[in-house]
Amino acid sequence: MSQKPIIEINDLFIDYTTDEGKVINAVKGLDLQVNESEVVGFIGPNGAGKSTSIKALMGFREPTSGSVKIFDESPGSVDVRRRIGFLPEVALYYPFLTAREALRMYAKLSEIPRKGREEVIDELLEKVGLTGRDKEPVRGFSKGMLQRVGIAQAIMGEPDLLILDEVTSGLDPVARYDVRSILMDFRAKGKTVFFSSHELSEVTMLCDRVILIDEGKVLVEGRMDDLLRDFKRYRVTVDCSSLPSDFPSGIRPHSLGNDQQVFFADSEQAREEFRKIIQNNQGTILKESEEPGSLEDYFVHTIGHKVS
Amino acid sequence: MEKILGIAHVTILESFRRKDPFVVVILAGVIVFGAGLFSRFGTEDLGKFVKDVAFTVTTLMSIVICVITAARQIPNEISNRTLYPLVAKPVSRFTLFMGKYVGTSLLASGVVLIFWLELFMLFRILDIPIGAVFFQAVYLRIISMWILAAMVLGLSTVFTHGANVTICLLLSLAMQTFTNAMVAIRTELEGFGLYIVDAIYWIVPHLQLFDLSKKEVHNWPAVPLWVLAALTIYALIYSSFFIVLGSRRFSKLSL
Repeated sequence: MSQKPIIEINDLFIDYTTDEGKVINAVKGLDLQVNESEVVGFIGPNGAGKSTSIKALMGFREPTSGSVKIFDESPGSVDVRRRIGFLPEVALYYPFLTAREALRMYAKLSEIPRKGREEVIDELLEKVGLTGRDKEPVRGFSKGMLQRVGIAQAIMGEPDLLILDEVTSGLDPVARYDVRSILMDFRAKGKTVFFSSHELSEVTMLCDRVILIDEGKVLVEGRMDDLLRDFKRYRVTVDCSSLPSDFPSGIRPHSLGNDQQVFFADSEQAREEFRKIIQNNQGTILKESEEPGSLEDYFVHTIGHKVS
Repeated sequence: MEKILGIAHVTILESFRRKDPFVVVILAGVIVFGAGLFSRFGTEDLGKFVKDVAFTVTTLMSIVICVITAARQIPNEISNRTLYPLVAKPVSRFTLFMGKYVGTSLLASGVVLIFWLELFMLFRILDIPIGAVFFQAVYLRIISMWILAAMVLGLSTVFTHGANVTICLLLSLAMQTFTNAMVAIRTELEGFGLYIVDAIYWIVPHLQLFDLSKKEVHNWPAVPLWVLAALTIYALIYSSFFIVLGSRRFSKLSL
């Protein structure tokens, strides 16, 4: 895989003042790099600074200090934006336009040649599953359908880099599958994708690499395999009659049965603690096993108490 | 150019889908034909009276509609979050601003045309004579809307929506009516007060220069073409000033 950097963020700080006059330090020394043909997931709890960082990446917000470069240029230049497809976190589209009219306008702005423009729009509508709904005003669209319009405008013109903020937000399972297919298709073409998401199963399926941020800076970054290689979880099945009222951190209930419940322990230490609690409650551990951890486990283990 | 026209098209389409033009047509009908009802009272010099009332009301309505339409363009894009997908495309903020300006100016020009078309029909029905200055007045009213649209759009990047509407309505209506009074007041002033009045006089666009309605009311002959040309240049300079101011400010806006 090529190592040519497409996105470079160095020591980025972004402060802003709210309407109430409060200064928010949204990003505090963020460093990250995304290379050509990589699919990178940008994850973190709410308020971690993901959307603010993406806004700086798009040139919507000036950094307080530090540098942001895309394709080795400053973000926000028209030349750079010719090569980027962007899906905002909460995008709303002109409610008085139909989906086709909205895409036609974005096609004009994306410099799609007039000849063949309608064919491009037809193809996009089919890709995002809006064929047959294109003459309806966007006003009547559900959140998921609006997101499909957003994805269609983002992938218009097959940009070299896709930046997607909360790409699967509001989508039903079928739509998520469609989006996954679109992104897989982009990856197969050697395009670069940088996306934020709270849907960690999507991130696991799609990404080569994950960047986990919290409080405006990178906590962990690495290839998915490397992050999860040494990360195991422990499945503990207990008799329901012995359930304590609260659990130590690192223990998560998974499923309820009539007479038994499954828990996951993030670490060996958490499992030991949990064993003691069960014993103190005169409970019975029915079964224990070790299995590979998921990105969600990793996220919860790393961020822990901050998950909202 | 296609990008500017694309944004302008959406601006106009929004107005049509909100049924604004139908409201304008009905409003114009009520105002113009309401003015025509004065003919029932057998007023002396009826033609002048009807013309004066109709011109005054339609001028005020044109200004109000132009200010309200222009003032909502950029703030609505930001508050409705429709701006993000636009600014992510390969289009400069200046182009976006110009698209909004062209769309708003065309809409405001359309409103003036509808009003004056209905005035024209009313005068024909009432056999009130129409001079060449009538058509010159329509032209100047339209280009005064270009200045107004640029001023409101430009200031919408500086002030809040409410403040912008209030300031622009006050400025445009005051300049329409109180410019001569300002000249008179100036002779009575000295020191700081004089500077303030002079500054306002020179900074604010003189929309009253574009009002030929009184000349039409009193059946004046057409104004020389050089006057129209000079006023067109004046409008272009003022519009450009507000476009540059507004688009520069819009370009620096954090989203």
